[in-house]
Amino acid sequence: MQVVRDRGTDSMAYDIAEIARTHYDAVFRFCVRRIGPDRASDAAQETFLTAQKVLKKFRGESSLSTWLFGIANNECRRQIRLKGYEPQPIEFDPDKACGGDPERTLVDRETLRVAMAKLSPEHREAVLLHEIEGLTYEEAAVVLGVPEGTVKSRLHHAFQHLRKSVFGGEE
Amino acid sequence: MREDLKAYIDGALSESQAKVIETEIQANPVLAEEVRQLRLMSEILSAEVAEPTVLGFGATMAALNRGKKKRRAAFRLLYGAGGFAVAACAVVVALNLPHGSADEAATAGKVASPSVEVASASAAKSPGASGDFMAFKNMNKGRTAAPPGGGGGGRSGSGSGSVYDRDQMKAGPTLAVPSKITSLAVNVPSVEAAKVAINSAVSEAKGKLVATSKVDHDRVMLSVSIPESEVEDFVRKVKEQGTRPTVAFANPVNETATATAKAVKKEVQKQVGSDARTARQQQDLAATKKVPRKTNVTIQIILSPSGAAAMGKAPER
Repeated sequence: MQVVRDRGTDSMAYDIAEIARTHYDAVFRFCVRRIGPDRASDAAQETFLTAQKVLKKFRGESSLSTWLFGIANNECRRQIRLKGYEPQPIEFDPDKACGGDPERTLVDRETLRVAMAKLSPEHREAVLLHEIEGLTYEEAAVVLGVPEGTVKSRLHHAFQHLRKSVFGGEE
Repeated sequence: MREDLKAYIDGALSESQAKVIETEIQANPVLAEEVRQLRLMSEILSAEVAEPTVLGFGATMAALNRGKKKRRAAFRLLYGAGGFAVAACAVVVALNLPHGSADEAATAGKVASPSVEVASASAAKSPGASGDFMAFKNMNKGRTAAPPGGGGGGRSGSGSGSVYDRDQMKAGPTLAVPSKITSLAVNVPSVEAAKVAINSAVSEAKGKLVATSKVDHDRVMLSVSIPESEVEDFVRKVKEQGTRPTVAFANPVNETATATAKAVKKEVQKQVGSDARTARQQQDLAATKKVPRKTNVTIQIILSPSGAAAMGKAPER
């Protein structure tokens, strides 16, 4: 979390330019995975413009990145409402494949990719935030505006669906 | 139990809950296999998803800079609005006239009391002395103007004694045509006599009567154009025609508005800085110097026939 303290005052102040430099990549990638590369730039830009407007209201109750993801998530939802939802397939980086764990070779990446695309938007949001963006249950709950238990439940159902698609068997 | 497997993998369970799950996994190979599969998918999603190429950072930074500029522009607008508010409030200025009694004031405001109200406007163009609020407003469009108001409601006065605020007149770029406004209400024994006296005063001041019209059944509005240098003498002569209703000066609305405008101006100056204000004023003054100034002031006067009772209560000058 990037916090820029205002010089000469005790109150915390935030420099939006510094925040954008620090968090733009993460926000943009989140937007790409939510709504695709074509709309991600607009969504990311809107996220930071919104943040610029309401920055004074940020009280540090959550981390800055969580707060930004929340704004980005709302912006992505707005774009989905306006232009429709198109599930964005995630892409796997072949250079990162396996990572030295031979068991990972047992998982068909293409099947997993297709299964991810078939998740409901709510389940997919939870997976993106927790697994890919690395947010905790609590942080994901803040971003999504739902209780932590709901995040836990969504992740459970999402992974059961993925497991069924990739390994077969019952959910 | 199965609902907690993902949370168990993520380490999101309490120690006691995790121990229960571990016991179950050791006793149940199917559950253990499920945990293994879930863990594999979780590891792959966490570690192997490709990072998309980041685009649009420069555009976002530019937009953020534009946002800052927009906020500054909005602030300047606030500054302008604050200045306008101050001007609008200052434009309606009070004249130090003798105040009548409360009864007289009430009468003057509501009933046909003998009163003269003076409200001067632009020197360039008279409102036509129509008594029409919109005509007055339109005439002063873009300048520091205030309507004469009906029955004294639109008039204000703080008793400052100034006929117009010269500094305020210098402040805006629209001042190439001077806009000088004053407000006056004087009770007179006779409207006709007051008209004659005012006409005489206009002649003495080398001004001219622009228009005369009836405001209502017993009140008449005069519009006169007076040289700037003669305004104070002229107003003094108008004041001598009678007494001014107190109600015309005791206008809490305008006092509040003035206080608010001052607060806004102070806040703006605090944030913008005196240098910026000075620069803006200098720019405006420079602009006004390019246009020849006119020196006449147009004044609107409303005359009403008197009631004997009201006049009896009015303090004589």
